[in-house]
Amino acid sequence: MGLESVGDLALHIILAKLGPEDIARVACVSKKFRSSASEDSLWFRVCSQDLCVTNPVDPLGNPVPSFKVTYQIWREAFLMYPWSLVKRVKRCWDRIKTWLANNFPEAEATLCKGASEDEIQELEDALKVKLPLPTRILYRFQNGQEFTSEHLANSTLDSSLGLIGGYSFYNHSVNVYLLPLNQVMLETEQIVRHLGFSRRYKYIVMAASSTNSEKLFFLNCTDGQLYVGTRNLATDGKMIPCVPHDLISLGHGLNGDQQQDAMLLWLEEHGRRLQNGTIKLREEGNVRSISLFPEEPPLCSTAVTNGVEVRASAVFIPELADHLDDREKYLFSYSIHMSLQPQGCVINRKLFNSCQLHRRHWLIRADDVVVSDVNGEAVIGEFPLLYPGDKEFVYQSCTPLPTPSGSIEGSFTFVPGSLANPEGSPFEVTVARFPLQLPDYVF
Amino acid sequence: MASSSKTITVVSSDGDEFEMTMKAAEQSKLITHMLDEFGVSDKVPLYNVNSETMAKVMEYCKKHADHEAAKEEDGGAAIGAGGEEELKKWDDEFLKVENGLLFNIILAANYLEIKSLLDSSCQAVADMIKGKTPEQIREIFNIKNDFTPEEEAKLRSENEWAFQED
Repeated sequence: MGLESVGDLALHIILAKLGPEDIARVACVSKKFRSSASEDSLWFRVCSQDLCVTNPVDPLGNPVPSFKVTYQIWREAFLMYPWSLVKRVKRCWDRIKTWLANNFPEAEATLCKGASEDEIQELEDALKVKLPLPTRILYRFQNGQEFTSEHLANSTLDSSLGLIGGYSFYNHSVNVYLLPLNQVMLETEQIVRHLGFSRRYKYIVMAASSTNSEKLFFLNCTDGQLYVGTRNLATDGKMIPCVPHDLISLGHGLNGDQQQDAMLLWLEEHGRRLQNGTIKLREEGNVRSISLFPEEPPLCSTAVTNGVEVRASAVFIPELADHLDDREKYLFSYSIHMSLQPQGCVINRKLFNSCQLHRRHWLIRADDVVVSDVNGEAVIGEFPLLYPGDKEFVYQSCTPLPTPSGSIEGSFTFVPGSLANPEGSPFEVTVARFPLQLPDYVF
Repeated sequence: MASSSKTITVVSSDGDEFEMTMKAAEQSKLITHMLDEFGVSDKVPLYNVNSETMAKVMEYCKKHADHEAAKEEDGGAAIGAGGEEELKKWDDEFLKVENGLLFNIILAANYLEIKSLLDSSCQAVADMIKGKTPEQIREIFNIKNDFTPEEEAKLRSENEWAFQED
């Protein structure tokens, strides 16, 4: 008696214990097995477990009549790549897109559908480069971001919808997005020519700020590393690597998903930070954008004094770092959030309904050496007046640092009531120490 | 429960009688239901299962019943940490039989509603299939290729992705 004799239920159980490749090979055995292996419930499970696809749609989002055909189309669309790497890239995009769908749908809407193999080939031919495999697959899934006039904030060409996001302090404002391939071609040709980069090094522009402040990310197609331009980019081409170099591994003979270039590692890290709340969406006026200031300890410090809560964190600003200036070798921007807790300002059991900032004091350290001791009035020229339960007062400033590592701590002098009508003596509100640290992943 | 000392008799399709304890019988949902319906004193006819297969199923039920009893006794102390693994090893050895008997075991496990045996025996077949080409699968299970060359070529091209080296 043959295997078919075990009956359809048992055959289904047996097939359900097999991976997709084995089920497909069983389908090639005989007519009976082709029929058993075509049961769509089997392929629903495969689509769901292998690919995290729970709707029968192809990679471009078009509906497909069955899960069996769905899986086949997906495999065929990526036949030229190691399947485990394709799945890894999909997981990377899924994580980012899920976060966007839940938190920032207007940005998700700007993601362009995947590039075709032909479009990628066109870019490679035009720029005479070979994209590293993980980046190729990243672009097969999503071809960067495109902003129409609807998306553009205010009437300027700025956009706040960049996937990578950014920051703003004084007149420096950055919001980074991923370039679609047609822009990669244009920008690379312009900039490489303008900067006089040798063609030998195979740099292409992958991400950039959509604002007036320039911030450019270059992928080196030879070593797979991503670099961000510094203040010295135009003068001596100085760039900073964005991903720990020893993590990059490209090369044939490696198992599929062990291949990783900087773009993949960078986006995976960004997705993790979004998902675990290390970085969050910020709203300024009516404009929402992804803010690169950390929101969680240990990079973000918190302290509460007499009901005044102050949160503080810093971010490294690579595009303004000047390696030729000993003082400004590294530049950090820091963001301070202050608010008065709902119970109000409590000093020695006396309750006040408001308090106002008068002075700031900062102790800035490079490594453990104090390099700056600031004592002045106001913060960015303002004297925030805090009421209980109000929205946080948030501001950004910056500080140069001669070393890649340091810290800031300090305090604000507040007056209960207001500066115009003080209701008691001034008191110090702690700003707990927060780190200034050149990160291993630079965004 | 005193029922652990009771035994029941089942009859195979060949007419042979097999004795099993209540605990062993409880491994099979079907036998349990039939006992509820017809009572313990009668012999339970299992006309879908031949003697060769029945003997194997008896062996399985006894082993798993003993394992469960040992677990209940000392709260697991008698079994020890490696107990579940040992049972699995026993199951693997137990299922190392020629294909015909294995298929009959699957059928019996299905009919008698012995979920764990159905699962293990199906897994044993799945393990034989893993990583094999269609030709090899046909050989192992003695399956006839009833496709025309055109049908086979079409299938092969539809499933090209399954034959790729990663």
